[in-house]
Amino acid sequence: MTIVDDVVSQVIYELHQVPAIATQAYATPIILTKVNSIHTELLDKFWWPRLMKLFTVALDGVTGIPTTDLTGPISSIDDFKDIQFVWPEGSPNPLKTAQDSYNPTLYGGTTPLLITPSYDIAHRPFAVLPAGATGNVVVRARQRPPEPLSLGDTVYLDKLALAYGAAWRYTTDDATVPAAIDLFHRAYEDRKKTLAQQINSQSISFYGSVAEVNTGWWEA
Amino acid sequence: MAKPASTRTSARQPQQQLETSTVRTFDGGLNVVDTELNMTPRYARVLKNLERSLDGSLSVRPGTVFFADVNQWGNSNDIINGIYFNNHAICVQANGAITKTDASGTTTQMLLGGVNPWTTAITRAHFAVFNNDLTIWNGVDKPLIIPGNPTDPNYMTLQFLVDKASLSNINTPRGLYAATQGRYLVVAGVPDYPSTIFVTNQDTSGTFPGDPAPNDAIQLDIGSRVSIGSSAITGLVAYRDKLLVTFERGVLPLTLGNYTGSPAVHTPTDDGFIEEYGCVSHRTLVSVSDDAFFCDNIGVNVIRRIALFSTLRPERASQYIDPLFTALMQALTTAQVEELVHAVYDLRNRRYLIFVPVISGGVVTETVCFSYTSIPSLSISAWAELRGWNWRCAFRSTLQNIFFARGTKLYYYDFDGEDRCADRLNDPAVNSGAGEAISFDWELPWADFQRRMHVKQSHYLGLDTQGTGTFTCEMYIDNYRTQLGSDIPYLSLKFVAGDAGGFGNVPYGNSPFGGGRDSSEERLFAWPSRFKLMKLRFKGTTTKPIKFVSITIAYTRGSIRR
Repeated sequence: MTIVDDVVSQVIYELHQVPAIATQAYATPIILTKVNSIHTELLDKFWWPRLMKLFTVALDGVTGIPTTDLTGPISSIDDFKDIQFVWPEGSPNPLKTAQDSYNPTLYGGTTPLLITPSYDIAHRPFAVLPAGATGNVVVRARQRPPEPLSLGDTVYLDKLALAYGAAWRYTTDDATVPAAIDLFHRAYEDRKKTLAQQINSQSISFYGSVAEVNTGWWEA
Repeated sequence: MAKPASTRTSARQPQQQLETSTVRTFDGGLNVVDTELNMTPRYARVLKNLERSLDGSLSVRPGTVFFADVNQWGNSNDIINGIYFNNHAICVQANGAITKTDASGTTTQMLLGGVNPWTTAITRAHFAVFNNDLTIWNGVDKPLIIPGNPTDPNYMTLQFLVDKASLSNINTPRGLYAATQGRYLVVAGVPDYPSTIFVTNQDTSGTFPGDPAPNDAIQLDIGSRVSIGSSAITGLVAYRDKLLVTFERGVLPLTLGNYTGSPAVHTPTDDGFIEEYGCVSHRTLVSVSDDAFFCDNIGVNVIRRIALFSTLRPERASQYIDPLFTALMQALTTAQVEELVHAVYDLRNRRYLIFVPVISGGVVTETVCFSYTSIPSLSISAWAELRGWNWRCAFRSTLQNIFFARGTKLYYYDFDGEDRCADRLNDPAVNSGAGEAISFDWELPWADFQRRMHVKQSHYLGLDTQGTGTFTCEMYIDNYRTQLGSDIPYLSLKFVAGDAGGFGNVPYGNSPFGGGRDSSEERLFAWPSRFKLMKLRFKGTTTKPIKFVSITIAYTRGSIRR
């Protein structure tokens, strides 16, 4: 299992600094900051398979909010942007997100129709419309490793993308030769493209009625 | 029209390129006089136990090694002065006893008639070599002589200095100072004649006024030639064709060998009194080629000869360290200055070393040494402060090593210890022979990288060092040096000097931790900070040599807004 220490060490190596975390007493915290920044960017950019979790939760029938927390082995789900799909149990079609201009009082009944952000209860960042909807829904959501990352934390994202991105950010601050900055920038961008292709390489069911919620396949 | 991708990329690059600045000239030395906000890095704000070396680096001073203990006959009296003479270290102890120690460290008592010739307790003793004979003076007793000519029947034995014709010393003055100039031995410091010099008969060491003819010895009171201050003579030293007679507030250069009248009388002439360049301790007088060094209560003076005209010109050599020197001298009495302030010249490294005691509770706790590396032909004149010593005297051997005395023990300067740098090494009484580590501290002045108003951002630190010791490099920024009395370095990293072994080398073996941050490593050491002013400091405690050759900082310039 890769830990953040490994990523920082690789950045130190890529930057041709004297190796070792302890040796680079001052570069290490800066690199760690860059790694955190790139980590957040990449975390939001892809639906990382290792971070995705399926939850089956019951609706409360009053507010449209689930009755249990969305808590996985890595983290709880606290942000609506981390919700990829919400299906009524047994349905192949995920619920669509209500537009901001929708008037929720216009929706009645007990059948789930739409979802909307809700932060009234921690770890339950969405509500189903209509508010009186009942039954279970299945949620596919992205867990977020605790941020900022520390050196001993596990890395669930791509190590190479993190290292190239952090090295690029570091060299940009360095005002080192432009070619070195371009080199790391290109490496970072190429790695992201590769990741997009890899994550997209499994066969996808073209079920006609499947709708995206608030994101594309690979980009939020 | 959309911009090309490459243009968008370059727009994210900084406007300023990475710049580097290297400091590799250290020939200014310690400077505590000028403001450190307007000082070049060739000077140091603090320079303890580091000196400008002949190779241009700034090096931790050598250590010292135990040589001999003269306390072999139950005589634990401190050595009060010593000299290297005829392959022996001749030492005078506080009870008047005299010993000689040969190159192997074997010490022999020097007795006269089976007893010490000087029986009273003394605090001062001085030497003068005349015609290969060593004369010893203490201002109280009759002077002694150790003949150094192998054909002399008393070769390397202790004798009283006598007139060779009458074999009497009845006319021999009980002088305190003596110096050889030209073909004469000159004596001063006779208690009843404080402003008088006694000049021997030509080519003779023991013939003074009053001794039988032939005798052209003279007794000359030069007090009236002293235009300011006390006319009591404070020291004598030969300087090329002159004899420098020193007083508390000036120097009188004399020329000997001038005879007038009939019958001819030896009539020394003077070049005029040089005011306000006085000498307060005979033991600080050192004459080297065109320079004669000595000290007053303020600092170190030097007399130099002006080319072409042979005129003597006084200069204050210690102007950059005068406040430090003055502070130490002000705490001493006149007697303490005369007895304890002493100097030696290190010919191998072209250094004048002057020692000033620190006295606490009547005990000398340390002798602070001010080291002056002076090489006029290379425009080098660099002071340093050498700490951690307590020497009562220092003298130089024929092979140009320096010997030091502390208590009854002799030590020598470890010039040639290639992989060691400890004080009092091999002395069984000091850490079981392991000696004492040397603490060093080098603080540079504030630097603005020639752009005072601009913010600078440092990125990397590069060091060229030699040796195997470890040191800490610190960086202070924007006038913040201390807070509430505590150092507040913004950055601090510990390094090991460039010749140290790492992974796979003794003593580290194949452990995964290597031997520390090797400062000769050419890959980068991150050194990130943002500042308008910065200063570096190198410090540590070592038993291994360390040489600083250069310091490089990679940085970028920013705007004027901090």
